[in-house]
Amino acid sequence: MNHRARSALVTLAVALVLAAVFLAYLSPHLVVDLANRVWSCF
Amino acid sequence: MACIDFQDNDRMNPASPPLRLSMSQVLLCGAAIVTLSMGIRHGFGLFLQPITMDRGWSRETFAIAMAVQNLAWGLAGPVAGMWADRFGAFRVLVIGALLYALGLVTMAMATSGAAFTGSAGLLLGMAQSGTTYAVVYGVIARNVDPKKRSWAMGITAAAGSFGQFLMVPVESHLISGLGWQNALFILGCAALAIAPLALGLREPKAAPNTTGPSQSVSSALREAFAYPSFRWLTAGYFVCGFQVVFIGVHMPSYLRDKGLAPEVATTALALIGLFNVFGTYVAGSLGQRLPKPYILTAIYTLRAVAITIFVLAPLTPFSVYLFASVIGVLWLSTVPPTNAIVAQIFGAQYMSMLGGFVFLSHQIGSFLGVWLGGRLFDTTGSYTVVWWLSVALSVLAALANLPVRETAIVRSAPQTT
Repeated sequence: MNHRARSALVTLAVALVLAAVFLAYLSPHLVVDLANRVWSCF
Repeated sequence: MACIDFQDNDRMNPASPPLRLSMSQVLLCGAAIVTLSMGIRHGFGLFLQPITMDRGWSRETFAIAMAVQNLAWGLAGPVAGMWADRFGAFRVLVIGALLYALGLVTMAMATSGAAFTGSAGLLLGMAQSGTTYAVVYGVIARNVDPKKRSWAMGITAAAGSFGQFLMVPVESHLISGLGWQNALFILGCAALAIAPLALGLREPKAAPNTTGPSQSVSSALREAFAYPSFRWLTAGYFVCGFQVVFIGVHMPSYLRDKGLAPEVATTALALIGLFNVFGTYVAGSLGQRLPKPYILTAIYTLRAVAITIFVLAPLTPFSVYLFASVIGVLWLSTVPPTNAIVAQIFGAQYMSMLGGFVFLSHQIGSFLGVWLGGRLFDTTGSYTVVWWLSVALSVLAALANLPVRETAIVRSAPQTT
């Protein structure tokens, strides 16, 4: 595998992981849970 | 645009040791360590509600422990850095991992406010000083070619940013699924993983005739604090800490006061986390091509502009998301250029210790950002004053970084006293 292909694969993997974590923040359960916890701090 | 002189004091010294660890090994292990150490601590706010309710404590008890943790992190940083420079980062990382695990377990078992402050505050603060940027950056400075150093620091900082981004939902799920105490035990086990990862940062001992200390700790400190660029850099980093922690802690309540839905705040926090990963990486990469003091000046200037527009523009979910994305890019992007400048000026020998001193300034700023945010809100009834104070500090930090010179300091003769 040449350098460019490897670099593209790494970039794709990083983007997928970041997207998955971002989606975790947007799941209704987590958003409500986080929001309750954030709000309860104030 | 001025060219960057990548020479530093280590590479200019003919007696300097060769690079000893492979860059990929240093980056992989360093990034994994910082992901864990920065990530675990980032979700501590989620424990406030379950711990205070379960133990019957006030929120102040929890807040005091977190304040002590941040200050202990900053104060122990130079000491941990000095030990890492002297005895090797490996030992400091292993001790830090053990302290981290011990702190999390005793945090779960603490039944009094004092014990909680000792564990969640003091122990975890010291643990973080031994497992975060300054210690890992020392290894990078000694083992990565100066031409790639800023980029390597950017990769590591981005890993820390990713850890912060990742661990909030992970810790939320752990608390919801297993309870807060079991969640802390699991996080303690995760912190122990730092110890085997530290093996990848274990630097072999070099022959004493080539690597014996050319400078003592005291002379390195005198040299750094007498050097105007170091003082300017340290002053600028104070502002970074002030802004980041003020926004992170107080923005949710600011949005609530303005009548926005809770989901807006959580999405904003997610956006900050996501764009922070890109920002730290890009800042590190840019440091290889552009003068780093200018990068820092640009970051602080953009922060001032972003905050000004955010405060003056009508507040909508869209404006919040836009602000969160922009401030996310600028969030920890100061970390790679600041530390790379320290390494470039003074060399790698005392990189961790000097990085620890610069970070102490960051933590004092963090403490004031949280405290002043609350204090001025109580006094004036709004966050307006603190937002504008944040803008003013940003302008000062931008100006403070302009005269910073990133070229290697010229030493007339080896200093041994």
